[in-house]
Amino acid sequence: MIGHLRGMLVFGLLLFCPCMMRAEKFVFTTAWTPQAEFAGYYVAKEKGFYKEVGLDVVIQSPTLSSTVYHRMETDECDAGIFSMMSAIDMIANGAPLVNILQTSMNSSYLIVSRWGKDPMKEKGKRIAVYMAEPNYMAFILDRKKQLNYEWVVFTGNINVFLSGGVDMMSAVSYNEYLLLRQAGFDMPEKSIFRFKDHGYNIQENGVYVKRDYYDTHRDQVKRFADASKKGWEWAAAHPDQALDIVMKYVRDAHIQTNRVIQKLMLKEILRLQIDPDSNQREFRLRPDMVEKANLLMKDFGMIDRDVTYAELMGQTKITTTKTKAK
Amino acid sequence: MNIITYIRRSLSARLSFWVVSCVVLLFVMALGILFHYSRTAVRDEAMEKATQMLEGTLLYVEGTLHDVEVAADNMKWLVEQHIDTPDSMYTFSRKILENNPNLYGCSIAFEPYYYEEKGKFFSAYSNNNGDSIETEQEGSEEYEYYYMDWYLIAKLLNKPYWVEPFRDEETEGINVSDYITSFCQPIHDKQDNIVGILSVDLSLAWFSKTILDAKPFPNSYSVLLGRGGTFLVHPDSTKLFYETIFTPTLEQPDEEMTKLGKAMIGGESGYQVLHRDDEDYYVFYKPFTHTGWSVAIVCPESDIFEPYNHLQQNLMFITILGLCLLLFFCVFVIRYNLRPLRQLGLSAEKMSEGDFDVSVPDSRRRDEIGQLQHSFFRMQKSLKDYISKMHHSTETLKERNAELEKANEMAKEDDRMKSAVINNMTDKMTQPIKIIAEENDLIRREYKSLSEEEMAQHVDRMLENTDAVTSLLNQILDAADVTGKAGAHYESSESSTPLSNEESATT
Repeated sequence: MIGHLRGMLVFGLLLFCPCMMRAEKFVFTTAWTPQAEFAGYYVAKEKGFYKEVGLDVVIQSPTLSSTVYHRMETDECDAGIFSMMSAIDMIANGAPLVNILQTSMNSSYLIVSRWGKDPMKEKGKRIAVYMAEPNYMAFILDRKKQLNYEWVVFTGNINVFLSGGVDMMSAVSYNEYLLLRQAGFDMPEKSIFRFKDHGYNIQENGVYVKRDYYDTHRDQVKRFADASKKGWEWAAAHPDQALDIVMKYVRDAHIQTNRVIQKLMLKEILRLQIDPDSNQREFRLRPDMVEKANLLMKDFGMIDRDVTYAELMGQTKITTTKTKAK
Repeated sequence: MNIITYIRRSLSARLSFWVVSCVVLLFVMALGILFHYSRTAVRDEAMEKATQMLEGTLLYVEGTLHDVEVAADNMKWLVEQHIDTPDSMYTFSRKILENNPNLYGCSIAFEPYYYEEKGKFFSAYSNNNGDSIETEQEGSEEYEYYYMDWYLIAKLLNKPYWVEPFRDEETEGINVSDYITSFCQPIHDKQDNIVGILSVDLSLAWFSKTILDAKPFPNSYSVLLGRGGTFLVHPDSTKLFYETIFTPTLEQPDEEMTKLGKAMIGGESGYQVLHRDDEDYYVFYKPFTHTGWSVAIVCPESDIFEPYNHLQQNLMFITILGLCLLLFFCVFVIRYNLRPLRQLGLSAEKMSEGDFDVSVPDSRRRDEIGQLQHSFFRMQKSLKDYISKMHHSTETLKERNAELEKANEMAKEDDRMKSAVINNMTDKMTQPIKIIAEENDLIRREYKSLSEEEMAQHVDRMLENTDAVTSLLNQILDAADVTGKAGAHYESSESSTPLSNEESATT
């Protein structure tokens, strides 16, 4: 009788205390070291949104020696952040990925030139581009406008540009652009080429998982995406508190930044999440932008087949044909 | 009575007020000029002191940097001479640290596949950990050194370059936990192609200590800015490497700070005044010629002008004390000197009340006040004499008036008595005259019937009464004679009318 009662008690606890159930571990790698660019994910974790959906999310940062793709490829993480063009490039080159959450709705890419010169008139000059995240737009622009830029790959920060070792640098509006302003660097508008303003408005950051992981963990990735969206919405509604959470992650990782820069970064990231047509935060891939990205990348020989919207969303069968690497 | 009323009513207060006001005006002008020139002199001296300390620090640091550059140059020559023996690079990187204890590390790194036998990566790296020098090959797939600032910038510029300090914590193998700066220069082969980079590392802790020691004033401090305005040295460690001089201006535009930052990262020398937290700060800055960095000494104005403020406070205290003493002295001296005037005033007031015997102060002074005292004294004496004479005349007049009044009274009494006598006599004469009239009437009416005897009786009776009347008349005449004399005396008295006080006063 006592054993029967004990069994009922355990059953009752399991039934009414879902919090006691073990959360599923989900490892997620951001695109860079902790910063406000990933505020929504930090918020979702710190505010318990992931726990609410039964996920124990571990947020990791990549290193120069261990990139996001490397971590996903070696199953060190379940999901990672890539730009849409990077994802198309990888898929076209035989690494099937599925977009489970799209945060960026606009292009943040720009080219900044030294000495106030117009980047479009700097033919044959040196331009610094990141090693971690290639700026496809800059390559496309270079070929389309026959600028013959000399590409200099660097690891990060703005020192190479400030030293005068290069004439231009590829930047994003929420990071290097702010760092250049923080360095007191004079940037007249004519020295900045904003891709968005010249017909190259392509979505960037989104969260991707490997196709096979997606096929076997659809419910898990949906819960992760929903909780992450909730985190971003909360960050947009409570930017100061979200910033506090970001700064906690920044301090823990000893990142050389400050609250002012992170505040401006969060503001810009949230702005970039607004869809230019609906003026809403939609968290979705836009088929038209996918099509445009494919067109540009194919025209300039970066990929030799289309990566469709359905493929990016995991709605088709995997195309396994590998294409020539860029 | 308020102070203004008091000053208006008191000559000594008014004189003191004007004297002190004039002196205050003179003091303000004199002290204003003094303070102006003192402030300029103190500021110039402080600027000289701060500038000298700044230059001294720069010379010292640049001397050390120069030593590093010379050591690196010498080593570069050796490396280029032995470019064909890659393993000697380990020895060279180690040797330079042995010969230069200030150096933290040394990399002799080469382009990918430069030495085919060494593969893609070849960078001979030695690190001085304080106890020993460790040497290893640092390049790997995880650490592609040729993308690092210290390699890439010197290669791109093709000239020696001091890289911005960095914390090389992502390297694998030897982990450098300290911030370091590196002097990097390209290594050329015999065809003058860049084949690698020689980099020597210097701990920023050494910079930090040397620069923070530059402290010309008790509350001053020094900062070192990198090329992008990053705080490489700052007393507030939370700003180090995390903020630039422009960071606060991103949220709130600050023209002063932006101007200072631009001047510093632009390699300018000079000073600028910043207003922060209700205080002015003088910022003296000068660039490093070797590194492109800029060092600044920040001095609170209160520190710079402390001697001036001290002087100002002392002078103000002495001035205020002096003015108080002057005021007190003026009041005392003027009051003392004006005391006879005040006493004369009191005396005059008493004299106006009729007290001509009041004492008039006298002194031996020969000035205007002494003369006034003497004149007043003489005036008092004259007045006193005059008033005394006037009193005497008045008394005489009073006596005469009294006599006259008495005589007048007597005359009136005589007159009254005469009237009484006459009335009495007149009354006494009535009966004889009546008898005479009756006898006369009887005789007139009955003379024919009267006998002589009777007639004689009637005539006798008339005569008797006539005698009686005559006697009374004589008496009246006698009385009239007496009253006439008295009246004459009265008349003579009436002709000399008594003098009134006013009339006597005018005489």
